[in-house]
Amino acid sequence: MSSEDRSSRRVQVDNYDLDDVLPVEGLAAIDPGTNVLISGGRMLGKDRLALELLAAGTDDQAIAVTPDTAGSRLREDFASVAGQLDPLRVVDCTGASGSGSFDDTDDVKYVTSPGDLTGIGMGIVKCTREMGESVDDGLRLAVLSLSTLLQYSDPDRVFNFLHTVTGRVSAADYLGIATLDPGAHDPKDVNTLTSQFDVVVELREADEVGREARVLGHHESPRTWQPL
Amino acid sequence: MTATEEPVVLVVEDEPDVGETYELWLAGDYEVRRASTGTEALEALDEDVDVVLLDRMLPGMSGEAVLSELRDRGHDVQVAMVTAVDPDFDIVEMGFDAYVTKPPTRETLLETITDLLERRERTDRVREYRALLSKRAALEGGKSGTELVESDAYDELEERIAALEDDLEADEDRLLEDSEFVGALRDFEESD
Repeated sequence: MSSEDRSSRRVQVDNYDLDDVLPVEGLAAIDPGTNVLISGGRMLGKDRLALELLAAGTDDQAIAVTPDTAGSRLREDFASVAGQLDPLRVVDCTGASGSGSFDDTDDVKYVTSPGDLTGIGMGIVKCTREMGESVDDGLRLAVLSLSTLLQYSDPDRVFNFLHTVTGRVSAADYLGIATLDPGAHDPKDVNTLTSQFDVVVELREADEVGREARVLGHHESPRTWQPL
Repeated sequence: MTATEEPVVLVVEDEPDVGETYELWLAGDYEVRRASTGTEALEALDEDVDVVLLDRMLPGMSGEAVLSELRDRGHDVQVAMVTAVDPDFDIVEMGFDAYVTKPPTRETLLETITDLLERRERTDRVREYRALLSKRAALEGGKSGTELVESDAYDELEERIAALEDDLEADEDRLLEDSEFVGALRDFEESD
């Protein structure tokens, strides 16, 4: 491309602080450029966990792509987790606008349908451009959820989309987060999608403790189930 | 585009001298088609065209209108806008894959076309990668661990997957460029 073409910035951080969101040994922080999948059935709090991971970096910028929840609503959810609204920008691809307008705001970029994967990419780019230099301190990017995207696009399209987005996360040293309900899809598709992530956090119900998590793909962490 | 044929570039330029210059530059490596208006461009466009060099300021139908028409038709084609206008506009939002400032040098023009063709090859490689992963998932779903370990076909599959992964990862930095990132997404959507 020509030299005037606009490039996004690579983040300048040593690691991403995860606080105590996941009480798993070795997971207090994670390397830049890591893609994390939160995998589990319904009602296990995947989205909440993803928001907590987004919010754990108080100085970081954050972007959430949501085909499920209206942008303004998701920002409120984020604020209740993070105690602040500021750092979150939303790419709202629900295809429904609460305010009746699809005009982008500073915090919410609208995409007309969850099936418009190129539009989602443009929404992400609009956000990173507006952030400018502030992405240097860290950027967390979440897709909530892959399961919903799979309702609107073929698995191969979602795979290609995800390959591009996780590639960007890795190249730019962002922290990538996505959620998936593996029981809702063909195991083969779950397998190919999952293989694009560096770290997988699996959630399951547990009798006494409510729910448990285990972390796969992170060498510093045990692969055993732990209460969450 | 097949391996034995030269890639096809459609040059859309209303000034004959300029169009001819581009054609001379490209003729060694590409099959060149020329059009001098938007309407002619849309006529000349078929499945064989790989890259369109589209002048932004055309008489009649503008470059943007031509772009929007050919995107609507769903052609799997890379479009570089050639423009004398100060590029203080957003090619990503406009839907172009690249732009070239007018007048371009021979080197810039050739480089832009090479880049665009490489992008498309990457799209194909990602597809191949997914196909292999899917095959592996099917094998893993159907066979026991011991059977897999002893299977040469599985070993070979693993090697191909690893090689493609390295290949794709080595290229990842390109996705830092916004037009490359969005262009990669668009390629998948168009050529499905």
